[in-house]
Amino acid sequence: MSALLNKPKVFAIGGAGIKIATRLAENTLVDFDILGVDLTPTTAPFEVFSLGGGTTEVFGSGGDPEVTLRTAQEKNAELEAKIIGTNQGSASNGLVFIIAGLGGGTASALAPIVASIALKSGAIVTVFATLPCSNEGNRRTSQARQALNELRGAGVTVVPLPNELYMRHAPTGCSMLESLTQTDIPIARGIRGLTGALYSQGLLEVDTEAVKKILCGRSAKTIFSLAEAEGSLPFGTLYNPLTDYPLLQSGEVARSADHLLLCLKISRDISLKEVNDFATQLCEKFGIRGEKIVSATIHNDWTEPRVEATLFAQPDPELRKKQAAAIQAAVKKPGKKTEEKPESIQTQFGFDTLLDQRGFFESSEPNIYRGEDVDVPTYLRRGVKIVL
Amino acid sequence: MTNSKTIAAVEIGTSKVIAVVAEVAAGQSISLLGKGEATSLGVRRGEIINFRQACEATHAALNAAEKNSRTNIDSVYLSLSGRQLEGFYHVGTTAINAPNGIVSDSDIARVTENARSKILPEGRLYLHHIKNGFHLDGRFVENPLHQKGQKLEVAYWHIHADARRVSEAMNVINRYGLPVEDIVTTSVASALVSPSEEEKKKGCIVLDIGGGASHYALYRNGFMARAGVISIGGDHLTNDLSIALRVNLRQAETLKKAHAKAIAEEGDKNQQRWLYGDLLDGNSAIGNRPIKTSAFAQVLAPRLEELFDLLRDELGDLYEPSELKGGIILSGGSSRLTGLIELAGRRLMLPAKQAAALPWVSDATLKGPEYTTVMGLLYSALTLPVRTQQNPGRTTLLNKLSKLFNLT
Repeated sequence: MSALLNKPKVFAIGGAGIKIATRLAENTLVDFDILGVDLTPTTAPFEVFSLGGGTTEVFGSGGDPEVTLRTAQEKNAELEAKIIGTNQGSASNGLVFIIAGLGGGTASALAPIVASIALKSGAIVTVFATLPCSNEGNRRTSQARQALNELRGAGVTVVPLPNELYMRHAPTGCSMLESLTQTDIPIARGIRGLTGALYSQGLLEVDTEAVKKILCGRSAKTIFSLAEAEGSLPFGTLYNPLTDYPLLQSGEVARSADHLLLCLKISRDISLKEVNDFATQLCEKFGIRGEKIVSATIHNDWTEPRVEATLFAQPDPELRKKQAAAIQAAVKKPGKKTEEKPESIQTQFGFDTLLDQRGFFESSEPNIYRGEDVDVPTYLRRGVKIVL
Repeated sequence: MTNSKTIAAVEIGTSKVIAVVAEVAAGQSISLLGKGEATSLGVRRGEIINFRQACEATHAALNAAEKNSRTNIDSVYLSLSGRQLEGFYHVGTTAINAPNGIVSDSDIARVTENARSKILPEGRLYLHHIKNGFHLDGRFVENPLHQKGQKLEVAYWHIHADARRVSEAMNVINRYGLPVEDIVTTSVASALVSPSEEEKKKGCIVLDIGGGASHYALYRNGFMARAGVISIGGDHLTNDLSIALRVNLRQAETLKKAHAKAIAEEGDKNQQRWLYGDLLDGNSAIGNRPIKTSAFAQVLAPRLEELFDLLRDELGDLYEPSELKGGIILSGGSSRLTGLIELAGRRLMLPAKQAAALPWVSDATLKGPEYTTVMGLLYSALTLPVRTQQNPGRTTLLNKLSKLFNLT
């Protein structure tokens, strides 16, 4: 057991978050403290804290985050006490996962609040946020985007999971209901990967503070990927699916990573050299220049060679700035006068270059419909992976 | 021929400029005489962004059309496109004046005036007032004259445009030494000829996917209830392919025309197309590389689905499949894309088809879906005298504009 004494905690926010947590409660979240937070009283196999009162208790937020915000402000102390906990087994210094379906009125407002409270208590906070499909309307899309920015601004790790993307990659013949549960897989694997790294006895154990340094306190877009492979040389077949994961969209996003946390679950016969070689190969691919942490836990039940990998990576604009300054200083010609440039006030690294790709329409004014520039290829905006 | 005129229907599109010359005998017949085409320049998303280049391309097309038809053009019917076009729905109401409640001509004139008298913001001008039928005491009547009632209503879909852009488009033609007789929006022109009268009555959507923009119109109970433009067209498909497949626009256009599909088919994952064609061993040209056939649909399907979703948004409450039994009719150059009809039907939950070739066009080269707009312009020229009687303000408006900008 590592330095983390508290049980990992899951906060399921809003209707969608509670539904996902309910589905995962039986298998993935067996040893977790789960708390649902919603405006209306909801039945779930775990405790659900209902914030609502009066009309909101019956009708919820009506899709309006402002209603939820007002309710949360009124019951702020109660909510904070619930999140932080006043007794043993609280979220303090533990691992906290937040599951939320953004776009509606409840989770879009509550998820950033819950994330901030949990982070303030010293927990390592990871948010799995499902995003609405484009045909759910402009309002839900913009509310989800706003909430996503607020979550990133809070300095927690946010894994956005666009429903549309996962539905598109669902296996052929998948029913509508099954398509809608496609995001359960990355959420379950992400939670298992991180808890495995921090709570299980492993071949390569990791330091909690180092993980916190990678995952917390940076307002940036998290890079998330997962893959699994089996056979005689599992790492050989693991590389491509891990680096081609739909959420990575293209090499552009992957190249923006600076710190990397790789959580591996391996069978007994995998050697340390194989793990090291793979981690090195991955760091080269992503151009990692900051912290690299690899955890490997052994799964005794696997009799054949097999690997499951979950990857979290974070860009670090500050680090890039420092390294760029160091390079500039090294190549500076002696004796030449240079004007000192004012320090940039930008705290968030804007690497939206992928969505700036307008090609033929480069010099045209933005062509905005439903809040999106439709001159940018739709497949890029929807995160559809093109297999050439 | 008496009362006949030689006109050119001109579409200044984003990909090409088309001019078709015809002799029109007012209200009676159209005789196609010839056509001219030129690659379009200076036009983006259906709007002129470089006047000089647009003039050069249009004048080349007009010149070619005159040579091809061996005649001199008298005047031009011009189509207008772009996001500058806007529309709104307005209902005019009046009480019946006569004590016996019988609707008179003056009641009809008054309600029509009421429906059409809304003042536009400065710099905007009306292009079309499209009548959506009369209602007498809430019930639909085809012609209310001499019928009995208390309250008469008439609904109009009004289309208006930026006056500066209209004058710019007219100027392009005037610089060739020709007057513009009428301006018709691309959406209206296409929608005039694409559906049959039966489809118009059943209710249908007409979508003309051009190079720079897509133009739509919706018919309900035989009336054009809505018409507009979405600034997504064939250029977006080409651009998406160019970025996804990492090829230049010219190559992307060639690939689009030769191999692109809107829907992936069984077996596409295992098939591949070579960038420069299948040479002897598949890769004997420098830079030649294989592209999976399924990649085309992966790129284009999201774009086209988005287009259909936007169309549904634009139509709002009017999009009601049970009221659109005539389905969706696709025209424009991009409607040739394989699988597009199927995708449109599936996404909009409507019967879908490509616009049928017009029976009165005998020249095989003018039967393609890319000529729907110019054919619609000619059709509007044929019916103009009738419409002018009913709607005298129409041509006056253009004359007014011409005087305003010293065009004639």
